[in-house]
Amino acid sequence: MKFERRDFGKLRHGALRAAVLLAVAIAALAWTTIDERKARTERNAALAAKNSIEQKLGQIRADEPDIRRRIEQFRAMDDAGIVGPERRLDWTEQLRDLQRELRLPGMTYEFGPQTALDGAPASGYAYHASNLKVRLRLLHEGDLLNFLDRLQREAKAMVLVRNCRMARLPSGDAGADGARLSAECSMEWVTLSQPSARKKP
Amino acid sequence: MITRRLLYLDSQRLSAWLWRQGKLTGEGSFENRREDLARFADYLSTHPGSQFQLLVNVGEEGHQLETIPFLQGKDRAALITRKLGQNFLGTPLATAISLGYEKSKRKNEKLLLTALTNPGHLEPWLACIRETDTALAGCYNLAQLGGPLLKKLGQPPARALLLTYQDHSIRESFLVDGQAHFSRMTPLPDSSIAGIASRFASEAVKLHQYLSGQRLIGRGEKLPVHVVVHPQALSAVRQACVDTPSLGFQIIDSHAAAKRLDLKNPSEDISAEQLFLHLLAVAPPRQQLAPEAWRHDYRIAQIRTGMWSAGAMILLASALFSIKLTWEAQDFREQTSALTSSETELNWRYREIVATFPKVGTDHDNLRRVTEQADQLRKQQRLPNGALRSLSQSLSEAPNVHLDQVVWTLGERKAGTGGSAKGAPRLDAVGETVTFDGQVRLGPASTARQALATFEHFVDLLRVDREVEVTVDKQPLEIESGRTLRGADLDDEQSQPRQFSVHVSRKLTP
Repeated sequence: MKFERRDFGKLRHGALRAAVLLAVAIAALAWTTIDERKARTERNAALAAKNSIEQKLGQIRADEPDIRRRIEQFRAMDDAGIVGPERRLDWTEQLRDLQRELRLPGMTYEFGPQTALDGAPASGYAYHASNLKVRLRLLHEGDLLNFLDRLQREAKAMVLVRNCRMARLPSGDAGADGARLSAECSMEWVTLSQPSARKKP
Repeated sequence: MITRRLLYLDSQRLSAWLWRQGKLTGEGSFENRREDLARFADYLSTHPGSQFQLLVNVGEEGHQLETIPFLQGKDRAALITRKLGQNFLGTPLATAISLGYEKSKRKNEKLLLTALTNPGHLEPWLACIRETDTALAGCYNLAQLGGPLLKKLGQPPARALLLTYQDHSIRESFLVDGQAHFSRMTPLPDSSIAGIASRFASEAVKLHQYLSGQRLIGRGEKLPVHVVVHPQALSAVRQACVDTPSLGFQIIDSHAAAKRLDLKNPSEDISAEQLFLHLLAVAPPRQQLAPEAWRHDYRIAQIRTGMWSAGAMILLASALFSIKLTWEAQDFREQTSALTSSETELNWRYREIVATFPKVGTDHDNLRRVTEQADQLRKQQRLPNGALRSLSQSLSEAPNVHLDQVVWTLGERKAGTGGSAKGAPRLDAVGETVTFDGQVRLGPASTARQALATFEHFVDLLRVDREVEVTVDKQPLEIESGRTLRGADLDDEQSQPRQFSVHVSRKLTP
């Protein structure tokens, strides 16, 4: 069969009708496909959200005693002054009070700049530490132990003693204050704070 | 929906019929005159969407049996064209029907060649069809429908005669396996029922004699003769057509046949042409006579219908699939609704539990992390009390040992720093170390051997605690082979204190 030019005219209406039907078919299919995908995506999102909250609920039910214990622990840390920005003024006053109360003949100290503990997260609460180097003149070794013990119990930070060096004073250095020993300790004053709190001057 | 129309051409006129749902409706009759041809062209023009089939009942026809070699493709087509030309003098209205292959070694093919040998009789009508771009589906002669008629009526013998009456003539066909191997039209001058009945009887005898003479049947072979007649003529035909040794008549009621063929409005006159027209509409033969060029507009109509059908099928498939997708989307939405309400309820319960917790300004994950880290740090909140107490006990049992300096370090000892740790503390310090330097002071008469013995006793006292590891960094007297050993005058040597250095490490227990 050979096509002639006039045959295309005869086929025009048929082709047009077929094209219209095809377009309607494609449009219907496209619309329903998009609608189905959207509905499926919404269902998947709803399922994920439901599973997530279900998991969180199960977790919090299981962890409720643990969470309460941790909250109490956190509040105890807060009460002890560990939570929040460093209170260096309080710290220095505390050091002087201790020197006076323990009748330590001599004390010099130096707080280093605050640094982040390893493993600090990008957001939320994080531990930071300031290094303290303190030099003491002691009447006897018990003064050092009392000093460290009271610092750990009373300081408004978590105090981690890193090292201590205690030595006899040379006989020439023992002055009128009666000191017989010298001590030099390094310790970390650890606090817990949020990024917003750390930015405060 | 395609409208099917039928054209019936006899030797005098052409009649047009509309076939719809088993009903035939006459739409006009046209004779071979100029005004009727114009009317016929107008009729065709008013039905451009219809498909027409042309049934021809004329005397100028030919049926020829031929045998050709086993061929295929273009060679076979070329040979058949040549055979048609040889047998029917080049008429375009011819076709070949394959009757199968001989069972001999050469596998020759048997053909039945059929043609309308006077195309001039059809030409005015076909010209109108061509000029009006009418879709001509096919052209058939009446003999082609004889076999299908008997098959539909449930009487398909291998070899039989079929006699029918239409348009003042009798159509006589010799059928072999449903194909008309011979057929002829006999005009009927007397159209009375008695005349028709007697003519059926006489024509059957003549046809048998002719076929026998042509050796298409065996001499004396008995053939069944099927005669289709109107109910009004049944009794007359039965009286006239009496069985003979070579002919066995079977009279078929045309109305009963119409009912069997599902023709809803059989003709009230005695003619059988409507039976054939209906049969052509419902079951047209596979072979038709018109050349392909004359069916051009039919092919165009087929393409148009194909496009429309394809579009409709695609739309239907799309609609069905869209329904499925819509149903699935609805199902997903119902699931989403159920999940959302479930999530809302769970969220409400979660918040209810969380609300009972005291507020600490952080979430639970962060809280867990900082408290776990606090626990780790607490484990490192050590004082040198324990280490110094142990040392003090050892010193009390070794009065000649005097300490100059003690260095306590939490964590591993670092070389050259005396245990001083730099930078931020690690969360995983696991031990403490104590390094102390001292002297062994014995009397002026003591010997080096006594000083060493005193020191070793002191070290043994330190090692009583099995959890510590004691390392001697410097002995009061360097007697190891790898170190320098110096001496002086005896008085000087004995007056100098014996310096030593000991390192004690202990693993911390949580």
